[in-house]
Amino acid sequence: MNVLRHRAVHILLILLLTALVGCSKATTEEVVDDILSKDGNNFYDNAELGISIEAEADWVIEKETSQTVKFTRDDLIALVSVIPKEKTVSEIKKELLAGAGEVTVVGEGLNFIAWKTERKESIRTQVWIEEKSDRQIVVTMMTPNDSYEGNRELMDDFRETIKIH
Amino acid sequence: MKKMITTAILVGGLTMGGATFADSIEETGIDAIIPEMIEAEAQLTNDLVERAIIQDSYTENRLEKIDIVIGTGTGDDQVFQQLVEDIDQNITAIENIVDEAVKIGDDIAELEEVISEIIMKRSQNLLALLERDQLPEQAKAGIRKALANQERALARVAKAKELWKHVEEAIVKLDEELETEVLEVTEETSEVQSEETTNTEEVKESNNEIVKTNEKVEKTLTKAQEKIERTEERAQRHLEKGQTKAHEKALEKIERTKQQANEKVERTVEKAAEKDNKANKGNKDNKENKGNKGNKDNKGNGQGQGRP
Repeated sequence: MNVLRHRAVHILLILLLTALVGCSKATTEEVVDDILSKDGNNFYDNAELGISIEAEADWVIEKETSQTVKFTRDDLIALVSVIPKEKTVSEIKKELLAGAGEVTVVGEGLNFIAWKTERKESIRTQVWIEEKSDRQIVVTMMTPNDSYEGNRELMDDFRETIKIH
Repeated sequence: MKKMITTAILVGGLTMGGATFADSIEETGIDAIIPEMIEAEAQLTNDLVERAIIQDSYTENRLEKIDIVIGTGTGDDQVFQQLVEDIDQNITAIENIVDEAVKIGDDIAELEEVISEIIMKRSQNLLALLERDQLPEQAKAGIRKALANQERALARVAKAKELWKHVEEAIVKLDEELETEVLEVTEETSEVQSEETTNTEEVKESNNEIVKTNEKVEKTLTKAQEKIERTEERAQRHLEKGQTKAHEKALEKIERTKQQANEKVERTVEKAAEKDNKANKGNKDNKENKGNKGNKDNKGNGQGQGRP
């Protein structure tokens, strides 16, 4: 009797877990459906990362990894990364800056940092970090320093159309 | 009860397993953004020497990461293998820079120097890694492959440099050859011309001489033209070996030199024609003078001849 009850509990547990997994999958799908039906003509949708972008079609999606999507437009490169929340914003800023090599910081805000490389052809990098409850969205925009003023509007426009779900 | 927990862990583990497995292969967080940034920076940099240096900072980043992973003991086979593969792929990226330089027809000397230095430094890094006990055998196999690929890259850039040198030498040689041709033509023409002048000064019936002179000039020019064309053909054959932009550039340069040579020849012809006209005129005058005044003019001319 006891053995039987145990077995029943086992089966119940398996069923429960399977159902749970199933449910979580269904929820994701529903969300995907939701996004697609709401903004079907978005330039870019990524339900897994939870982002959608309405940018103009002149942008090109160059590369997608599990956490970063790379967009290009002429001499402009945008990296949109969704990372698990493991570090504070200032830690992120510090680490990215350290990874950038020889640079000069040209601007910094609460959730923003900008630098340019100390090279013959200086490249300007701007990073915005947006915090969500469980993840952080890092938007990196890069362009030759000489093209920065001319590309400023394009960069702002692109960044403003990034929607985080 | 024990069994129940086991089942729970088993089922739970099975459902979570996928995610855990995926995480161990790919880096997450900031660590994965930095390489993307380096790649983007290289992409935005036009100068190929600069681009090679930036591209190499990616390898630097990967090597540092290997050090960290060894130091913290957090790496498994897959992490190491991925990092080594990143380094290997970066060798291809550097080779692509060499190919682009060849395609554009850029002077490759400086690029060759920088890339050779990069590869030498990285070879030392990789050889040092082979000595580390903490590195799994699989990763070491990857490193050996990367080392072999580095040698391939080194050979590639050396070959590109060699090709460039050939083209440069060919251009210099052609320039010299064309210069000589033009010089010869000019000399021959002026020789003919000076004969003509002497004749005029001697006041002979030189109409026939003038015709002859013109023929001579014509012949010399045709010969020169042929020579220039032959030189060009030879150059084309020589340069066709390297089907690159450098080759195209060289041909353009030859075309320019040829044009210059032709212009020079044309100018000489014009000058010759002018002198011919003058000579003709002079002869005519002389004829008239001869008829009218005779000896007086001969005297005058004789005096002229006596002048140094």
